[in-house]
Amino acid sequence: MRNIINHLSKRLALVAIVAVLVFCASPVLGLEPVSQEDPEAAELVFSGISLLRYYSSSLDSVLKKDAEETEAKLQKAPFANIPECLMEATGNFAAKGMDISRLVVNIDENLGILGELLAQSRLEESLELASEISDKLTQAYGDLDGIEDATEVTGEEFRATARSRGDLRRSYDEVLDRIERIREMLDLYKSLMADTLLGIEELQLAEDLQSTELTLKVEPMTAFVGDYIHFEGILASEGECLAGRKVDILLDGSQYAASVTGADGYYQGTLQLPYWYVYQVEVQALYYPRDEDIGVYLSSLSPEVELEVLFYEAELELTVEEEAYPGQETTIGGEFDYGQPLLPGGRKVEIYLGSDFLVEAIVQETFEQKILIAPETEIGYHTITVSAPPMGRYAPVTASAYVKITRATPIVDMDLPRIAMIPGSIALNGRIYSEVGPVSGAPIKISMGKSQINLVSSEEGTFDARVKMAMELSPIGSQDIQIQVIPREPWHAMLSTSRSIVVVNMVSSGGILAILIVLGVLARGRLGRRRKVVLSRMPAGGVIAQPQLAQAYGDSVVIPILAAEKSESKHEPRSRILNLYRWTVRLIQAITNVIVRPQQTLREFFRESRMSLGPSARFFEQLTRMVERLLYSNYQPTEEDAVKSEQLSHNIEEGIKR
Amino acid sequence: MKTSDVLLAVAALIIVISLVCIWLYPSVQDFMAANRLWNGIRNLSSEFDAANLDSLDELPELPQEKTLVAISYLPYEDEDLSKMRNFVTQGGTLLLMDDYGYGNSVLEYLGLNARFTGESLLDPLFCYKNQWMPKITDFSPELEESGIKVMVLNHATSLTDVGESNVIAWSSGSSFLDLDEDESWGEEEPKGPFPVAAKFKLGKGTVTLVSDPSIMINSMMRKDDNYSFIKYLIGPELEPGQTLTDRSHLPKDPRDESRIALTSLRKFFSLPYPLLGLTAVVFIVVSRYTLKKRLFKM
Repeated sequence: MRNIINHLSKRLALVAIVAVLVFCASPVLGLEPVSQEDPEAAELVFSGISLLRYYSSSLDSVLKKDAEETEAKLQKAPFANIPECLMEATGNFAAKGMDISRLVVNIDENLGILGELLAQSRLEESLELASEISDKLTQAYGDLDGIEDATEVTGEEFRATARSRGDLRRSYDEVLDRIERIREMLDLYKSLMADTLLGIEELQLAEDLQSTELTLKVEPMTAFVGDYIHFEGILASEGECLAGRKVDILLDGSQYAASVTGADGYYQGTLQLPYWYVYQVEVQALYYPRDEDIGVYLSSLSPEVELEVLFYEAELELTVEEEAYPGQETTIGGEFDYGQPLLPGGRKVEIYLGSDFLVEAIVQETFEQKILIAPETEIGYHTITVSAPPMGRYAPVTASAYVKITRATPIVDMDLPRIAMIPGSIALNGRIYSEVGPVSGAPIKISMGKSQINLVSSEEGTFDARVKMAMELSPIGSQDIQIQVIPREPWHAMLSTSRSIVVVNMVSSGGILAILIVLGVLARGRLGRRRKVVLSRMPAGGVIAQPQLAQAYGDSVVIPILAAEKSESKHEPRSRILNLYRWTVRLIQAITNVIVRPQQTLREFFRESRMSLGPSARFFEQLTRMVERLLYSNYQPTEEDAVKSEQLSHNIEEGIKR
Repeated sequence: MKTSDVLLAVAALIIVISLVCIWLYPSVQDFMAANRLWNGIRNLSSEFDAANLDSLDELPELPQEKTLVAISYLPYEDEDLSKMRNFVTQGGTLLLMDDYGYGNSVLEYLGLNARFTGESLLDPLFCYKNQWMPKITDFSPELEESGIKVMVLNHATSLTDVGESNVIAWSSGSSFLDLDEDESWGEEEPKGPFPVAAKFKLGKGTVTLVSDPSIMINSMMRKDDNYSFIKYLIGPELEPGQTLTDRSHLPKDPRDESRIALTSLRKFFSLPYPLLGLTAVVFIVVSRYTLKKRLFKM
């Protein structure tokens, strides 16, 4: 039984240890999501599968004949994480991929046009377009070879070709498959092209087909947009006029008007010049066989006539205010410069803020237009665009300018007393406004220490309030008044500001004063008691304390015991004066704790004790000078000097007692 | 010298050394403003003069033209969520950055449909060094106009249920969500592009979501256009000092906790009365010591 328990407990311990280890190591083992890694220490990993899938996806877009999508995909190639040695191959793949996608779309479109031209027996144009398509097909095959090369280089780098299966090999094969399908598509175009060329050849070889000639004359050769012009010409075939045939008038290669030839092959008509604000338009007349003419005649195209187109151009200069505010109107100024005296009566303009249409108006050559900035408009720089659409002979014109949309910061103009008293209250009144106008009906929060009031500004932005001063400990000092304003108008910014005021707390100040007085009284009493103690230590007899030896350079000095009496009148004046001085010094030492150091002169001792003696210092100074005179000169003191020294000593004693 | 005096001196020395170490030794914790290493946000804090909030109680009452950067790595109390909502609805900008944290609780509380998927977003092709650091090259026209071409994420996730008009950045077509955590794309795993950043108006303010907070760390901030992107999100017109970073929802190590406590203590003692009290205590202690010494000599 014990063995089983031992065995089980060992196992349990093992399981517990493993569990703890797994718990501790879970972040390392990736059991918990890692939120980031050091980019500089990160492992460099390339993915061949992803690159080959990217190739396949791009070629899919080529097969879909979606040049834009292909371009969007392949333009990202420079951001791909690929080995250095594949940079060139990938770059080539991207460049040739974008090129082939455009070529495929172009070839596809042109083959359709070629078919139409051929159907209309437009031999020369067909030949020209067929040659162009052939060139583009050759170019597309070249691009496809380049793509294949780049793919092979990529496949070799990632050793895709060395494997017979797996995701990498599959991805590689998928790219090759796309390349093959594009090649098949090009082959198809090539065969379609061959068929068309056969048609052209047939047309060229048809001996019974008669050629046609077409002339064109246009008047006037210079005209404004919207003006009517006259065109005329003759359709003939081998010297014989063709009557009752439809002739198309082409403007810049597109069919725009038509006319039918008369009995003499003559055709004429008028057409209104379209409102194309271009300087030149190419006009051509086209005949191609219809109905019974098919198989009889060849088409013909007249020589190009270059028509000069006139219209009025203008430059538009915009002026906008430096700053505009959400919810407020701003003025946009503009001036059209037509460069000639003939001006339109009024011009329609459309005004945009970013891509949002704001307003349209009819304006004169110089104009000022007010626009309302939406309250929810984001703060920052925005583009204001004024667009004048085309109007008859006047070409369209557009101009843009940047405007900074911001919020106006309110200004608080407040009458504030310099000093406030506690207890008490202060009257606060003032006005809140900005460069836009008053801040009306705005909630205002004024707080000062623990006091706080909430009020609302009037329509004119004024406010009037009284703040009751809350009780605080501080006796006197500067205090901040916090003012918070939350304007209702979207053009005003919120405001949080503060002002300082000197606050005198009468209660605290009074209390502190009272405490100081009490402390002063107590200190005086204590000083008195101490003096009594000192005086009580003075010996009662007239024994003069014997001088004691002081240790040279020692820090401490033993305070000598005071002599029992200050002086005795029976002694010589000199002895009396010196005795009095010693007595006074000991008294000062006992009271002030100022110690006479061994190396100290009498005058140095005086200087040190001067601060502690207060007004008595001057008496002690006189006494010190008198003693110095006795000690350091031959002067013999008189009875008068002795009396004076007694008086000085007495004054010092009285001063200290006080 | 008495043993008690020695012990007292040693204790004082230890306290002083500890305080100096706490104060001077840089933090190593993720997203800490004091962390100068690769995973800190010291550069961001200094660039934008950002104020660190240790509690959402410190959010300003007038949040207009202020941006709160919140990295949601710890759960939120309802009180915190309420403060965040007030901050946004009153005109502030909340830049909520999350990958595998608690950002969805904030979104739920704010009533937004968008969510962080919490799944690893990998891009084996358009990436910096490896698939865990996807490169983002598709941005809304507004961002493209401001010159942002490419940014790099670091162990990111993606957003879901975001309206097309709200998305401001997408991952590439070769990115995928690694649902089975095998670090490779499987047929059943969704392929990109996925939204990785989005912007919403809420009340008077704005909520901006980014599915990776790591773009702000010291080692990532200068990668490609990450800095410009962050500046755009925080507010290109914002003046320095208007950015607030919520530190209260970031995991901290004991040293960070101590540093925060020490900062609070210093702040407390910089107030007039505590400073006066402290001066008085120091004065009393020094006076007592000096007097005692003097009397002892006498």
